[in-house]
This record gives sequence, C-alpha cells and structure tokens, in this order.
Amino acid sequence: MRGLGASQPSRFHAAVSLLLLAVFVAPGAHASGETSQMRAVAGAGISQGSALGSPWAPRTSYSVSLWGLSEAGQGLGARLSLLPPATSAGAWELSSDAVARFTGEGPLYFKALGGVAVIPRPWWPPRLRAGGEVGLHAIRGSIGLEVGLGGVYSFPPSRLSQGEGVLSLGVGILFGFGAPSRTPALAPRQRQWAQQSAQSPQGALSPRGPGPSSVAETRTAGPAPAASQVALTPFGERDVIQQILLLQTPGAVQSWWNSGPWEDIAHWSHPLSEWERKYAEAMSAATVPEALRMWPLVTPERLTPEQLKDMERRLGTGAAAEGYAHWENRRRIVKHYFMTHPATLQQLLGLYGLARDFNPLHFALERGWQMGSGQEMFTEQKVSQLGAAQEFFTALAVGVAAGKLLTATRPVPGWGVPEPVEPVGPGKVEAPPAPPRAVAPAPEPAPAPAPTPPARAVARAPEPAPAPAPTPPAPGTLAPSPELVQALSGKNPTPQVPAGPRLRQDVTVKPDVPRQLPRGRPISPSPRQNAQLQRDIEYVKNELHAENIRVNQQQVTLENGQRVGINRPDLQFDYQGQRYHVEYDSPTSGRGPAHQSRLTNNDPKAIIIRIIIPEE
Amino acid sequence: MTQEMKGLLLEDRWAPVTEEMGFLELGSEQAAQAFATWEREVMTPRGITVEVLPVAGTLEQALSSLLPLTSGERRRHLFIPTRSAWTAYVADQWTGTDAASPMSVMARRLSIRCLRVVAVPHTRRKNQGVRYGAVMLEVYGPEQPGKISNTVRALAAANDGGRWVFEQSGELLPFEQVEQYQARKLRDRFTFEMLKDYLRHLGLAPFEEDFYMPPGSCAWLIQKTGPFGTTLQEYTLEEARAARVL
Repeated sequence: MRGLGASQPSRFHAAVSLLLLAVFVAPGAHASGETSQMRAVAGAGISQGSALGSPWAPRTSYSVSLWGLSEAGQGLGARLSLLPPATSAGAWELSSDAVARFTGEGPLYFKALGGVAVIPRPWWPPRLRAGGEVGLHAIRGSIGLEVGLGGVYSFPPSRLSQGEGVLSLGVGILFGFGAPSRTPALAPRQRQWAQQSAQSPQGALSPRGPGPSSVAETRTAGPAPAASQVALTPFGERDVIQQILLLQTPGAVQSWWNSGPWEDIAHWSHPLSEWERKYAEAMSAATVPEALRMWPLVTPERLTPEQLKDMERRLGTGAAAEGYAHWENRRRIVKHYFMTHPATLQQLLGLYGLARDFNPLHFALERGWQMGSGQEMFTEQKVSQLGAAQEFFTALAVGVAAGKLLTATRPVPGWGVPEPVEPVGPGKVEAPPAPPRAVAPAPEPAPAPAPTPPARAVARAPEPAPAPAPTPPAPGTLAPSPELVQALSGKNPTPQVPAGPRLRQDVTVKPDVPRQLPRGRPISPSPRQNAQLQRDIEYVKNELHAENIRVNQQQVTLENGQRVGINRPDLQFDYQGQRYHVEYDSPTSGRGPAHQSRLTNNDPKAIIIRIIIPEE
Repeated sequence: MTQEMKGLLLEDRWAPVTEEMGFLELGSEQAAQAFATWEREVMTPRGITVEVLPVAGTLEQALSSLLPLTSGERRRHLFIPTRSAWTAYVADQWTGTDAASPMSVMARRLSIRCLRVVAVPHTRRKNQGVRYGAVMLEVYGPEQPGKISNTVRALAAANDGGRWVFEQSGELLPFEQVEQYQARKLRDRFTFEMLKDYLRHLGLAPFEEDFYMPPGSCAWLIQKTGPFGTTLQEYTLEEARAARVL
C-alpha cells in the first residue's frame, strides 16, 4: 500500500476514477478516431503479483477474457480471473472485471478495469476492484501477444480505506484479430442512416460517377484501398465524400482513412470539393442536434498551437497552413461520419451492455433501475420492466444454484462451516503418527526468555502427581510439533526476522480485542494440520500452562492486551510472559516467510514459530 | 450502543473478571487443591510457591481477593463455591479471566465436567472503542480414547473483531434449542437467554449473586509468589474496566 506513494484519499479517488473510466467512459474511447472495425477477440493470460506493502510473495493468477477490439487492439471486454490459494489453508479468489483497452499506433497499450472479487469458499463478502495495466503488445495476423504491468486496488464496499493493492506482471495472448467479426451483435448495420437522414451526403448531394448502391456493395465486401492506390487516385476523386459513398460502412471508411490519407497528407491537402464543403456546412449547422453536430470547418488562421505543431511534424517547417487546414477538415468529416453513424452507436451500445452485464454489481443496479423506471439507466431507452425483473431473478437463481453446486461437489472437511465433530473424529481416525518433519532453518541461539525445558512433555512420562496426570502420547500417536517443543525450550528453529513497516490495514485496526473463540476451529482443509494443531494446543496448555490461546483469530498482543492486525495466525498463546505465534504450512507453501514478517511487524516482541506439516 | 443483556452477574460491575468464568463439577476445596497440584508441577521447579488460602465473606468480598488485577503471568486464581455441585473459577488477569485452558485441563486431569461460560454485551462507545459482544459455552469432559481434544461441546455467537460469527462443534446436548441455530442473524443463534437456559439444565444459575458463597462456605484463593519472569503491572478494577470500554 505504501508503494502507491499517495495518501489514502487520493488513492481511493484514483481507484474510483479508474472504475468509472472502465465502466462508463470506455465506450467513448472505443469510438475515437483511430478505431476501426470491431472484432470479437478471446484472450487468456497469466500473471504473478504481490500485495503492496508486504514482503514480496508472488502469487500466480489465471484469466480468460472476451473482447470487442478494433484492428489496432482498442476496445472493451470482460475478464474472469482466478487466483488459486497460496497455501493449502488459503482459499480461491474469483474476480470479474469490465476492462477498457486503449492503444495508439505504437506498441504501448493501457487497460483500465473495474469489477468485483469474491472468495466463494469460505464465503467472504465481495470486494470491489479497480485498477489499470500498462504494457507492450504485438499483433500479427489473428494473434496478439501482450506483456504488461498491472496494479489493482480491492476493497470491501463498506471499508473503502481498508483495501489492498496488488502489483503484478503478466503475459497474455489474444485470438481473433484479422478478419472482422461476423458476430451479428458486433456487425455494423448497412446504410440505414445514410439513406434515411435528410442531412446525409446522399440527401444533400447528387452522386457523381458510378451509382452508390452498385459500387458500395462491391467495395464494402472487400478490403479498404491501400495507401498506394489512394496516392494514385486522380485529383478529382480525392474526395472523402466520394469514399464515404463508396464504402458506406463507418468502419470501412475509418479504416480507409487510417491506411491512406491519415499518413498521406500531401495528397489530401487540396481545397475541399463542393461535396465535402456542403457536408461540413450541413453537418455543422445550428439546426443539427448538438449531439450530432460537427465541429465547424477550420481555417488557416484558426489553427491551434497543437495543430500547428502537428502540421510542422507532418509537413515540415514553413508548410502552407491552408493545405493542412484542408486535410484537417477532411479528417473531421470522416471522424464525424464515423462517430455519428447509427452502426457505430449500435456497436457502442452493445459493448456497453456487455461490459455492464458482466459486472454483477452494475448488472444488479441497472436491472433495479429498469424495474423501477422502465428505462435503461444511461441511454434512457425504454425497456420492459417485467423483462428486467425476469433477467435479474434469473441471474440471481443461477448464481445461487452455482454456489450450491460448488458447495455440493467438493465438500472439504474441516473448512468453511465448522464441523460438528472434533478435528480428529472419534473412532474414525487414529491420531496419525508423528510425521518425519522437514524442520526448517537451522537452529539458532536461544532468544529470551529461556523457559523451563518441557522435554518431558515429548518423550518422558509425566512426573508423579497427587492428581491424575495427563496421559503422555503413546508410542505411535501424535506428538507435539518438534519445532514447537524446541522453541518453547529456548531453541527456536525458526530464525526471527527484524520488524519492518506494518501494513496499513493492520495499523488502522481497532485495538479492542474480541473474545477468544472455541479452539476447535480449523486452520486448514488438511486434517493432518488440524490434528497437529489440536495436539499442540493440548501440549502448551496441559504441560506448559500457556494462556490466552487463540486459533485462527486476528493477531493480539500478550494477555489479549491489544489487537494489532487483521491477519490471523494459526495459533497464538502466552507462555511465561511472552506472546507466541505459530504458523503451520505445507512444504510447498511459500507464504510462511511473509506471514512471519507480518506477525513480527505487528508485534516485534512476539516470537514466531513456523511449523512444516508434510502433505497428506 | 449496548446490546441488551440484562441480568449479568453483579450487573456487570466485576467485568472484566466475570465476563468469562469457569465451572468445575467438583467441590470448591477439592477443585482448588487439584488446581494447585497442577500448578506446582510447573511452578515449583521455577522457585515459585503455590498456596491455597480460604476466603470468607460475600461474593464481592471473595472477588476482591483477586485485586489488584495484574499483567504478566497469573498470580491469583479463585475457586468459589456455589449452591450446586459446581465450583466457579476466576483469575486476576487484568484483561479478564481466561477459563478455557484451566477448565479443559482440570476436566481431563480429574475426569470431571468443566465449563467455560462467556457473556459479554456488545458495546460501542463513541471515541472510546468497542467491547466486542460474545455468548459462549464450552463443555469439557474426561479424556476419551482416540480424541486429542476433550471438548465435548462448544457453542459461540461472538463478534470477532467486527463481524459476528456463530460456531458450534461437538455432540448436541439434549436440551439445546437447535432450531435457533438457523436464525438469520448470527448473533441470534446463541443468545444470552439461551445460555442461561442451557446452564439451568446443567444445574447452574451463574448470573445470580446468591448462587455463590452459600452460608458456611468459603472460597479458595490460589496465590503464587516467587521469581516470575516478567514485570508485574497492577491495575485496580476501575483501571481495568476503563481499558476495556466498561
């Protein structure tokens, strides 16, 4: 979190801005001047990320996505990501995001995303996500490759400031570039607007040369003319209105402009033709609704400094501003045609609907609005209230059914809902034999305090006592963890680490201490880990008189003095005036060091013990 | 804002000491002596002396023998007789009694039933913090072959630092109101009233003052003295209460 280097409010505002950008503004970006015809593109990716502000502990996540992208790779999409648990004690995290992808003509791209993350088992309340990604991409044929650096801030809806930032590096592959999508939802409509609008070029002008219908049908089916062909076009035919009439579909017109006149400014700087001038005058007239109105024609005297700079870059110093103004006016005509064409608007609405409905929160909000008002929330189109209700409840039913199905298909003993039995069930499991342990790091000199060696607890029978003594572990039954026994006799095999900065969410936690919950709680789906935990609890309380024992509860200091973190050590207890935290891990888990650091950062006086339990 | 929890022992005046209590199904003197024996096993090698002292008087006078409350290792434990077969247990920890470990151990060592009883109203005071609410009952029993833990039954509805949880494990007791465990609100699945009812079935009325110190009886104080490893810090009851949003 500190890695973001900004104050909390500014970070939150940035997150909200990105979320809004991804959900609402992106459609506008999609329709920018550089956008060409849309393709349905599928993607898959893999990334490694680590939470900011905590020790580097990368976790791998996997994602699949569906996009509507232009040839250049710009557009909108929806992404589903899966983050497997870091340890056997962890949980899967599933996130759904609406993503807007921006790119120019170079290899750089930027993504803004917003969505929801859930941990389905055990069920945790959803967290909102917002973030961005920047990277490089290359598109060859129908395949695109991308590599990028992303940052995502996720937070509980009710606790905006207690979120977590994750920085990740990932690679992805996109399939589906090349030929435009045949998907009906993304395919532009044919000619309706040009024929119906009284202010269209066809309505205002008489076509010259071949009739628009015949030529248009042959030209729109094929690729846009190449730049070299455009350059050879006779002067009389270098007319964007003619091209519009020939190509008609906004994507084809835009594509033609990008591949020819956009670069070949020298051949498109002659004065506007009558058609072009009339189009511009008609479309920029005050009678045109403002949303559809074109910017007025630019003149050499009214070029902005940015335009002058662009002119110098394209044409060199001392170029005639008049020629540049003509080119700029043609660019405006093409852009206006593209942006206001009903097919473009239809595509934008379709993508907006796609992005909107992939985000569960937005979906629910939108359907609620539709049920109440009978209108789409932002486009104000009329919709069926009954249909909206039907969609909402259908989605709800599907979600509930999916949750039930997930629960039913893979019940994990000792995880999620507390089991109504002991961690090691009566009669069904004999305490497993003490596993040969991978005792991690080499022993180091004993830290203070030096407690009374509890060696008898492990191997020897208890000393005679007036009252019935606890039965020592019989041969072949579960023994206390060797790491724990060593640590409590003053030879902790876990090297202690120096305290570092604390996570923000730990710093801001309320210091008030909740009660100790019953200690039969599981710490892992692994019965072996849970059984070992229970054995260790018996050891520390029976034979060492440890107190204030907590299992899988938030970190507190000695004697329940203060809550210092929202992290949940597997086991914590007081012994001879010292607070101990114990973490159980599998040999393949990489989370132990990070957990240890966090525990130490929150309570530098505490002693941390890491115990490795072999996989079952 | 305070959760309704009327009828707490001594109107909650002795919280945090009495927020959590232990109960042993044994006479008070026997319980105290057995506890002292267990303590001596670990304390005597460290040079710490464990004494068992009688304390006469009312319940509040008996509780006063725990004062001042202390930090660090426990110095004083109190075993209070009741009008039933059960003996109550409290200790001098300034943040409240931890009954779980002692009761679990005593149940195993003495092959008796012991209880951990928790009743804390959820209280939020502006600018003063939160006293997280909890209602819990844990029943411990003798050691059983094949089982690691001797917890017979555990029930808890508690605010675990901001969110309510309901947990249960072990075998149902015959008098449990299991239908309540389906209540929509987690905190309603095991309420203070249910706790009192369950305890009544077990023969206890631990929230009534006259349940304790029957005439002619005395409480038993376990007092430890000697070289404790940690610095002792003492608290009056008022100081401890102020620190715990009471």
